[in-house]
Amino acid sequence: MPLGLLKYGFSSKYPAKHHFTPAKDLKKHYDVVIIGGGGHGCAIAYNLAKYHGLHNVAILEKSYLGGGNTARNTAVIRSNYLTEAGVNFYSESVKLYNNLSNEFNYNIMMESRGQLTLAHSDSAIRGFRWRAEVNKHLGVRSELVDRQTISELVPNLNMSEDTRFPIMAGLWHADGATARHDAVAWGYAKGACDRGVELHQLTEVEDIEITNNRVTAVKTNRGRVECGAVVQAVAGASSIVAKKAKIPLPIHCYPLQAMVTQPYKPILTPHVSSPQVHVYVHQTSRGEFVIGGGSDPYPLYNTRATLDQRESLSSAALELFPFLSQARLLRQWAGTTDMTPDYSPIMGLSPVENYYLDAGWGTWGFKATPICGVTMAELVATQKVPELIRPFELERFYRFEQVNEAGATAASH
Amino acid sequence: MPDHIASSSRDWAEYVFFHDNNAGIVTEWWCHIASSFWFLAERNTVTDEIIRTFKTDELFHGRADVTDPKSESK
Repeated sequence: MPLGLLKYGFSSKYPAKHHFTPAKDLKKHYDVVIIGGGGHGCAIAYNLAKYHGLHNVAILEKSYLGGGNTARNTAVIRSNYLTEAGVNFYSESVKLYNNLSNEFNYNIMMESRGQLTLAHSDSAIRGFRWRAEVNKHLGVRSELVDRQTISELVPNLNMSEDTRFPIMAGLWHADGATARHDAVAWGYAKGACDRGVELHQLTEVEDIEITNNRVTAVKTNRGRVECGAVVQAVAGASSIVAKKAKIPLPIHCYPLQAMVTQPYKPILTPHVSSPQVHVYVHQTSRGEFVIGGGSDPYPLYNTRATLDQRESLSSAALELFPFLSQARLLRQWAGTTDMTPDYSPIMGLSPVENYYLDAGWGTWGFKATPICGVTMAELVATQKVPELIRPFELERFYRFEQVNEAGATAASH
Repeated sequence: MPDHIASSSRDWAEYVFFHDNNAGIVTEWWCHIASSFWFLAERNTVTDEIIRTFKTDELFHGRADVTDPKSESK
């Protein structure tokens, strides 16, 4: 081993290995076509190939691998949700995340640094107390903490009582974590491609052919492909793609904006969020402060950055961390969020027999990537809806059985 | 709005939850908060352009029919 490493180190030509399928023509038929080459699409393909023996799978990506909301989210991983369905689902995802680097043999830079949500009012404390109890009952580490503990967890947080919304208490979630979001998509894509899955970038699905309530083929800008089943994993464009299959979805799209500062030495360990002042802040392993969570006030399919959001996110971040006042912003961006009426995803069967939905990912999609891959692949391979995702089926809206997920977002709404 | 007597709960679900989430030009109600004035706007949900704003009387004329269907059948 050391000799091999040495030889590798000194060789003039490093053996470069393709991580992903090099561009080639589309095949005539795939057993499963996955629309969307983000984290979710790649995770579904990976699980189909690795655990269900389905290798004739294509991922069709309109742009490039992980270039949509996988690249635009703020990489928060947590499971301190409020509904039983939500907590069970996301805590399973956190468990999978913890082992993902080993699963891939590829570093996703997972860091379990904890997450602290701040309460600035009595009603927020009451809500946190409720969440903590639900979480603990379902085996998630979550507890209500006082001001003293908050100061110990985040020594540089502004604990002054002389602010507009003084911090009264917090919800401490030790399982909270972050990871490199691109690496999650790359790891899944690499693992899928190693097992025969084809990743087709710059391949846009233009139409979906349906006969007798079954998808028979998809038309793309690179030709027509017959398929045994289709999964759509295109959060941010879910309504647009589902419309091609004539499936209405209860979704409205809003941009969610975030920004980062220049890098600093490590100074902030946990992820800190405040639903009251509408902001969340964490420091990446590169040292940048990620400041996020500003939803635009009206529906839009656009990822422009606005001065409004820059101002409101900055003022909120400064209230929590005044030392950032001299920080320079490096980037500001937006992602398109699929907002559902109950803040829960829409996963599982659709009205079209062999067309599966992975949609409605609002502001909670990244953290669900691994469990989504596992459960959606199981559904496609076995045709049986896994218990974990049954509450999230599209039909729930027709029965008025929403999964009202008040713990869905760390900051906004 | 669905007919409140004849509609199934499925119709109601569609009315309550399932709306067009169009990428393109939409006509929407907006309110100028300072004056509480409601007006209509045509907006492009892809480019974020407001194409035009106009008063409601361009689209709506006359009074809404609020007759109770039950009282008619009597």
